[in-house]
Amino acid sequence: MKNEQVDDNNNGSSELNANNFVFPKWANKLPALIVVSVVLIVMFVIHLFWYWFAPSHLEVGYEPEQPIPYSHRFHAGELGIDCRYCHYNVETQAHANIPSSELCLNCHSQIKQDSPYIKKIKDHYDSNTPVDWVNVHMLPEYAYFDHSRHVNSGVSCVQCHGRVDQMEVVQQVESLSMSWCLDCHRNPEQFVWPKEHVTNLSWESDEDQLEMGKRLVEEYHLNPKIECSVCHR
Amino acid sequence: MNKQWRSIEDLNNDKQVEKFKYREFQEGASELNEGVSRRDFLKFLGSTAALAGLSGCNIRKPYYKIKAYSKKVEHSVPGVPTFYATSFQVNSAVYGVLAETHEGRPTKIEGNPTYPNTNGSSVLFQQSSIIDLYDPDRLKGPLYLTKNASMDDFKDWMLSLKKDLRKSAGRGLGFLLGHTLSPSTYKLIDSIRSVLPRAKFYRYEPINDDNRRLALHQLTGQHVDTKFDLSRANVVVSFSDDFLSYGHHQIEYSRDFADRRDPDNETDLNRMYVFEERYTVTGTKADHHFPVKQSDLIHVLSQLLIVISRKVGFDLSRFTDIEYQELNLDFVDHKVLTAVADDLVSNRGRSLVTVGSALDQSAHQLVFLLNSILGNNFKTIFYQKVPFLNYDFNQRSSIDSITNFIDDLNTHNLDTVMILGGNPVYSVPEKLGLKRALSKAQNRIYLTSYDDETAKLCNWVVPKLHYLESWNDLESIDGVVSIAQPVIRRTVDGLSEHELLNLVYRVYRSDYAIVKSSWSRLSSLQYDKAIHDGFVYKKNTVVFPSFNNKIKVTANYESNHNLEVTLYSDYKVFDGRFSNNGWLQELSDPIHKLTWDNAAYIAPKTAKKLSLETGDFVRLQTDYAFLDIPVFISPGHAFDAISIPMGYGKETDNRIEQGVGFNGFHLLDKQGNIGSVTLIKQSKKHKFASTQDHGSMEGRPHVRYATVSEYDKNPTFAQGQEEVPHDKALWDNHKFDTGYQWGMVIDLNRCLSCNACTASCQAENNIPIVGKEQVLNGREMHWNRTDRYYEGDLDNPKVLEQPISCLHCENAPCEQVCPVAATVHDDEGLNVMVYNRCVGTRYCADNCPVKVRKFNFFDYHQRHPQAVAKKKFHLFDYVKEPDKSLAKQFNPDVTVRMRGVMEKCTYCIQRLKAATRKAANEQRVVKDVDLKTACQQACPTDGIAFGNILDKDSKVYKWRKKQRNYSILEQLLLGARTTFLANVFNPNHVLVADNSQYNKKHHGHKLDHGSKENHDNKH
Repeated sequence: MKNEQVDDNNNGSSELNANNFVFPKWANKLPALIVVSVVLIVMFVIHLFWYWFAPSHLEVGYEPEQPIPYSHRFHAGELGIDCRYCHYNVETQAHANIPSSELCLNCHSQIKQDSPYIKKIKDHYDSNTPVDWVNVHMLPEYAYFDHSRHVNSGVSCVQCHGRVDQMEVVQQVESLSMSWCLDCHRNPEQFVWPKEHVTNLSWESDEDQLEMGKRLVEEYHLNPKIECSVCHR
Repeated sequence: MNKQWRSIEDLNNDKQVEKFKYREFQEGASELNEGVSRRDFLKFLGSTAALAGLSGCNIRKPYYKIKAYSKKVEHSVPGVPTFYATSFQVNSAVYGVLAETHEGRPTKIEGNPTYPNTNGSSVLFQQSSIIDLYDPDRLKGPLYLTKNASMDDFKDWMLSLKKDLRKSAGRGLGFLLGHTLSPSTYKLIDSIRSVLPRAKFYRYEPINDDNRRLALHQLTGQHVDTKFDLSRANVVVSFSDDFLSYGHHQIEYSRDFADRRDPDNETDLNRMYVFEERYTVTGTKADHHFPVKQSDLIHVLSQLLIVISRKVGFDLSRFTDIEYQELNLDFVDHKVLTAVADDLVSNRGRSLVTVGSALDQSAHQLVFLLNSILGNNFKTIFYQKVPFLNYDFNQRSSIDSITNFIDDLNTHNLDTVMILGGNPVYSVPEKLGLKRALSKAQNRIYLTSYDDETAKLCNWVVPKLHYLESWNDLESIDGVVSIAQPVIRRTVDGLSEHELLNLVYRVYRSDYAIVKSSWSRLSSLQYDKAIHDGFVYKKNTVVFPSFNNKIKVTANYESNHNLEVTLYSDYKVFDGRFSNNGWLQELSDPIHKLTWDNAAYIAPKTAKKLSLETGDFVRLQTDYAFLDIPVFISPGHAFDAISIPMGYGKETDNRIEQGVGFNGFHLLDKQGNIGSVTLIKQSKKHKFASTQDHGSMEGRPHVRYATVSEYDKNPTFAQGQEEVPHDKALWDNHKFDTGYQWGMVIDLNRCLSCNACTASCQAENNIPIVGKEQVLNGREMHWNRTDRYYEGDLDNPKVLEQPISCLHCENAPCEQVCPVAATVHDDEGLNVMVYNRCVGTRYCADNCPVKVRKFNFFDYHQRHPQAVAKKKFHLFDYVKEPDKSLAKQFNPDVTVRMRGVMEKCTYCIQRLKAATRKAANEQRVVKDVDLKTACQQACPTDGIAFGNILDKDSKVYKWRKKQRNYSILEQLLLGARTTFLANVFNPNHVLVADNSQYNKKHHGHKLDHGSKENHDNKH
């Protein structure tokens, strides 16, 4: 309305007061522009949190450098050493242990003794100091995860850790968020494998996962719960 | 229903208490009344948020390292605790314990099931001992003339001292020991005596059994102490003997006693009469409790002896010159005595009379005589040889020995003193002048955990190792010999008692070498087995002392109405040795529910006479000393008497014990007694942080009880005491009928209110302490409390106890009001608390009928009295953080809750999950043996049953089926998973009619029937 008035003045009057500010014509679009940009900003912020701050964006792909460049691809993949040779507590305990330096030296007291990294491990062993491995898969401290319950229920290592046997450097491939946990707890038949194949990361089923899953859920008496107390205490 | 009341204020419907009843949170409970207020803090936050917001923001996950063992440790599995057997000594008690360690860090103490006579349960001092290890106030290294020194300095110094001592064969060297039960210590003493023959040994222990021991020695010529077989005793008469609350046999006595209080057992209920000057834990379990002044107790005892000897035709004159006098006491008359005597006589050989060690020697001798007449000796009472009584300093009484020590100091016979036990400057009667005498010795060496009163007067102060850091060996009075192993590397630069004694006469040897060498006769296999099991062997120490006929017992008695003061060992801090233990300080005293304080306890009638109220300061004046102390009115206390717990009023800088309570030791005279006292009222007032009114549930019949005859007539008396409305729930209740359904039953008959469960819960579940100011506001954090109710006459009420924690109601009122669903039910019937969802509206606590939800107002781990200043100030942090040392005690399987979050009992969900997951991996179901909650594991009387209520083999199923089983607040249709077994008392029918403790019961029954009729009418 004010703009119209200004227009009228321009057309109708002879002189223009220089002190009188007049909105230019493009200013008519300003309200619309503001509305659009507010919407965009809100969408951006939602997107920021929804997507960029989500664990699936923040966590997946985390690939820290380890003090000793141990290759899972070589040991687990090419040599075919079973996961449980090093992470031997996985079937009975909540924590799948990180092996001691002693365990590395089971083989490396004979093999590749000249490698600087093996020497480093030997030093740690001799001086009885721990290797500072960097934690890759990290759950918040209020979530109490139990490896043994999952491995014994036919949840393969690969479901959470990915194809570690193909990783030169271990990286996180799943979000490990609560909703991601619940995906499986709600529909276990989509994920379970036969127990004997859980540590065989490259195993592929001949039958349809859903059919096999339903059969296994029954066979293993699986009843994954979604109560809070299952993971939080 | 008879009114059950929690305090005198409650009985009088005082306004203050009304507030506690109707408000879950007290006025201003959410305000922090010190330093910055919450509002100021928020403003402050706002201004710093802009600055700190960006810099403090770290979106990427924190960089954590995993430090795996470089060499695998045998038996150690990451995340799984390892248990090591060890043992320790508190005064005359030896406790066999299991230390739970997580990756080498001890976090909790449990009873050792293989240690004889304990069945794996534990008592308060065991549970609380773990936090002493991590106490940041402990001495970290030696002090020389109050300046920090190193252990090498001390060893060098000892070297030169040693040379001098050798030259003089130990002349002028004196050792002041505490009560010592370690065989290795005595071996070292032997060695010292052979090298330094002129060295002298003394001992002092403020709490001791000297009176009983010396009395029995005089009578029988043997150094013996008593041991009861409560499982065989039908009638127990205690004269102020609190045998259920402390001592080496506490667990065994508690269990045996509780087994005889179970009306469902085959044996009949026992009956206990207690005559005592104040309500003790033992007194609360008595069927008949008689408040009698301590000086009158000997009178009651001697008259009882006379009445009994007349009944059985025993000629007393051969043994004693006591004479019959008419009893004229407030609660005890001839009728009472006759009734007790009849009961004892008809249970000859199956009864038991005992007397507290505070009473003088003649009382103990009379009781020995009485038990002989009744034929109880060697049937219900046994006599055990006290270990190490061949040593001269042990044969004398404590007070004799310390007097001798001080005399020797004063006559310059001692110039090097080594103080190895206790805190003598604090606990020795001031009248003896230890402070002045000590300064006459040139070298004063003190082995202690804390920089305390004695440390201030000593030139060398050496830190003492905690029992979890050192090797030791112990021999209990039961003859159980144990080797105690350390479970953690030394956290202080200190010495064990053995190492210090060893340094006196030879070069340093480690505690391991010393203990190992004294057990060299064991093969290495035997030694390892002894370490593993927690004990080496059990000797038989029972002897059969014969009565020396020639002894005459003289007991003179004069009744008076003078005010009489008695000191007693505190239930929490004992003689003061645990007073820097925050867990114990914050625990509610079993009788008065007092925290962070002691008081002069006084009977309501006496208080009225002297126009005193709870909190009034009085000056207790003797000829030689005075003490200013506030009074606390205690129903059931004897008239004209005051009792004061020991162990408070320390004058140290240690952050927990500082300024807590009042030191009763000031009143002791040279003999360790308290003479006649005059009381002067003062105008000052003291605020007590007593929790007796906290969590009040408004006089509903929570603790239900009946006498045996009532129980026989109506076994289901406990049920139907409340009018239960029809279930008009808004929604269908869940059916919890498959899988695991957890439940708990607490047998009130077995509860002795020993507080072991609360301490065990605190250790297991990372529960912080809050301090006295916060307790006053009703903010204590204990998940489990023991409510104490009085019932009946104010002067001698009945005491009823009820441990209570979250009931895990199936139809939980708290869940219905939570706006964010932070407290919900799971399918196993647990009322779970989701800390991360909780936004702190506190509606749940408001709606909780049993008031067991605790709100963490101010992050009490960070606001701990021993918290340290934080280096970095971060946006959401306080300026303080928990001390690193205290944080080591945390159980890694339980979340450490932060401020603004509601918390409560979880039924030890971490233990539940560990057990169920293990069972599931092994493809079986959880049974009773797999699982114990922390409170259940600690309970010395096995009074808590926990398990799957659908499992017909489980104890909890059987207990829930008992007729005594009832659930509190039935009218709210809670469907509580924790239920109670009602109390059954066994009073003497002769005394019931006119005993104030029972005579109102009839009235209660009427109402009981009334409500039943109502109930029937409705149907």
